[in-house]
Amino acid sequence: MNLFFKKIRNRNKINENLSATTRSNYEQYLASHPATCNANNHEEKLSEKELGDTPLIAVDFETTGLNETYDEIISMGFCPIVDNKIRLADCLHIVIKPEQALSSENVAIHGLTDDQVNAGLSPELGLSKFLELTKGKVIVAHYHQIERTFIQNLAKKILGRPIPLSIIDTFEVAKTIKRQNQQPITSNSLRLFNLRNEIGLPHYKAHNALEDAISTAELLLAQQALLDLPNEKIFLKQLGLINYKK
Amino acid sequence: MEIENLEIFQYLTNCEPISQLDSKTQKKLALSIEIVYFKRGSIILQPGSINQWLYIIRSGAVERTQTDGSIVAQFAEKDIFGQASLKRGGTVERKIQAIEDTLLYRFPKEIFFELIQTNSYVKFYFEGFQTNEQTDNQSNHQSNAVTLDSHVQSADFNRTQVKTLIHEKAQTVDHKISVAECARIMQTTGSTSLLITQNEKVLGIVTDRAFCTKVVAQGLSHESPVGLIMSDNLLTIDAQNSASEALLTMARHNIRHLPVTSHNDILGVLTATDLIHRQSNNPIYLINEIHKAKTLEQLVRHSRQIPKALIQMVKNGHNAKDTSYSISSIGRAINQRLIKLAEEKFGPPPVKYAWIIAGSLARNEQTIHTDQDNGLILDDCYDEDKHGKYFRQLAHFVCDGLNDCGYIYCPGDVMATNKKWRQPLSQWKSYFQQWIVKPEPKALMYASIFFDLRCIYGETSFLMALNKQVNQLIASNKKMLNYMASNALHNTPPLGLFRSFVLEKHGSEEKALNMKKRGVVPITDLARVYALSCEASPINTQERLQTAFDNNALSQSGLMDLCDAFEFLSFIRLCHQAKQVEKGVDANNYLLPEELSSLERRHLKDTFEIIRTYQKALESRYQASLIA
Repeated sequence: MNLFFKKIRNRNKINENLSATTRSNYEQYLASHPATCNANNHEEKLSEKELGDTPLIAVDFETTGLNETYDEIISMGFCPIVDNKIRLADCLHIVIKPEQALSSENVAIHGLTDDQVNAGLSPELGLSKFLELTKGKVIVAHYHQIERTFIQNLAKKILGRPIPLSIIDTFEVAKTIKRQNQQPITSNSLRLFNLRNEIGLPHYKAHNALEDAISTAELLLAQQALLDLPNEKIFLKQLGLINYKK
Repeated sequence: MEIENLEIFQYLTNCEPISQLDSKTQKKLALSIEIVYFKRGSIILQPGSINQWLYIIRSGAVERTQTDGSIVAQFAEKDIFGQASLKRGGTVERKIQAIEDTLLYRFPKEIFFELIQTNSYVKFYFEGFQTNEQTDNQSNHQSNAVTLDSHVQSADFNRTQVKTLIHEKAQTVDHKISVAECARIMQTTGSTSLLITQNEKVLGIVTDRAFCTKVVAQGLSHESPVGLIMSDNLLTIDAQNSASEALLTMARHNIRHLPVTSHNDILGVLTATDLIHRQSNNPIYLINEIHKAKTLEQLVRHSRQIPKALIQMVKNGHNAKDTSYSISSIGRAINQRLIKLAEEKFGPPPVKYAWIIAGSLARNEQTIHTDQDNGLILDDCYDEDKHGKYFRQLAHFVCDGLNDCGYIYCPGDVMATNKKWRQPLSQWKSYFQQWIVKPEPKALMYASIFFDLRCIYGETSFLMALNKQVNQLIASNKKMLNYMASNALHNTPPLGLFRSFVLEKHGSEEKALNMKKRGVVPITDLARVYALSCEASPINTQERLQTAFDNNALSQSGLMDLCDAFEFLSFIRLCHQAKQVEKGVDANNYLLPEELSSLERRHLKDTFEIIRTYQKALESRYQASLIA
């Protein structure tokens, strides 16, 4: 018995060197996470929820590179969607100082210089901010594998464990729409830029985390119009909600 | 990341009137926006609901409809809507619906009101051109809405060098020559002053005024040497100096003649009249010259000045009505002079006749050279066998001359050279009888030309008799008005602006807006129907509208709206043509979207909406759609 409880306690035990803020943000994140809080069967309940009733936040990261073992997040863009509306004042961009120096080819992509990232938050504060901003919300990302991998790597490094995530991926929504319209699906046509172009959304600068987060949020608003759904309501499951337990 | 790095911020700050704000206000504005998306077909503003936002279209397009469901305006990227309902306290009167999937940025109403109160440009932007609220809009259009501003006039005077203005060559005479001889020299040379020399050296000046004040008033002998009456403190001006400088010198010394010098040589004498001509009366000066022309060649040469006169009038800040009136006056003068030259060539007319003109020239609304529309009403005692040759020759001489002067032959052959339009009064009467009693498509086409007639030479009474009959016919054949109304709805203003569906191809592949067909003509057509309905005689569009108002056929706001709209459209068209002429290309009516500022686009849109509204009103009044 004792051993069993100890095991449980160990599993719940997080890095003891965390600051009080991070710890508090983490606890609140867990407590209010849409797919884990309160009673059983939340996952099913969440996927039955209406999109309009769900607090959403589009998220995009810029990283030092695409190698998940040693590359790091250097900036995060957050764009909340409330009641199908985006308020620019609620959007946020944060810069994180990575542990390694930036390589020049990457600076060319994301446009952030050493000086800018050096003035950024520490990785722990970055994670803490992520937890604070996304708590209780379903994340919207375009091709979410990158965001998921990098935030989980950061979480494991800082917290000692991954965090639960509920995600709607506009990349997957686009696939659904294309299948529904019997359009060919190519990886190129599913890029954020090309999808926006196809729908008639304006061109935004790519590779800035905030710009991409807003782009993704707007894409989701537009995609709702394209989903050929029988009634006016859209449920999260129809958007291919993905739940990652911790 | 700072907000101003966002593309959204760049977009907003490229939209009028936000582009005119300071960067602090721009940031505040950007932070206040909400981004919303509307699916094609969804309603953005529903009549009766309360609007809380000012909208800017980011992508897509929306449509505004009247309560009866008719579309009055379309809006696309960078267009703003919602301000009308905000100003009413939020109540939406006309439906706004997405006609494409549309991404919108919207600002809270508080921000809108704050901006209107604190920023005069924003206030002007939203209130400068308003339906039913006509204050001094016309002056607003001119001072703000167009690129050629009124400063040009004084700037022009400052820039113009006096050497370009002199008309009078310097006439020099020796100081010993008699006063009587000097008067004869002035008479033959036509000059109003003489420079008095001694051994080729200029001593002073004698002007026509001296003959009055010094010779006649003082009873001086006509044989006295001219040296006695000359002014010897000779004021001169250097050829490089500006016209303003010359004007100041004349005013300060109360003189009207100023010799112009260049490196000790006298180039000529600048007169006050030269300055006046330059300042505003160029068309009048030109008309004078036209009436003095003795040959066709001279007339052709004068007609080449018309584009320059047009540019100058536009630059000097004259409104479109005055400018077109002047340009039309020049056209009439050329036409009248040609008729006189023809009479000199072929002798006096065997029977009385009236030379009539039609179209924009008759309405006094001519801009740059257009085609000619004219005809001859002959006395009823006209005999084809006896008099036919004379009038055929006269018509050909005049119409060919007009063509040489740039008024090209009428493509529809509505010219005095066409025997059909060179007929005795009785025949003209039966033409109108036919058109009015049995309106057919062809007849309607002629009617729209021949309801705008002006007699510019000969027996004006012939045209008056014809008009009298026309009014009587219309009074007893009201059906004609229905047809005219239906015809007036043919050319509709574009609903949206500068999206592919409203621009027309012309010539090359460039897409442009036809300012004549889509802008000016719809109002001209409306005014014609209004005027005919109250048997009014004016043919100028603005005068017709005024008469329609005087006869209760048009409301006060209708009069103001349509007159303002007409003036604004004509003005934009004139500026466009003036710019083309300046660039050395042939002037036309095709306006390219990029020629307009955002503010002008906005006013243009409002103007089109006004026209559309009055077309709809006319349609329901005459139930024109039933016939069409």
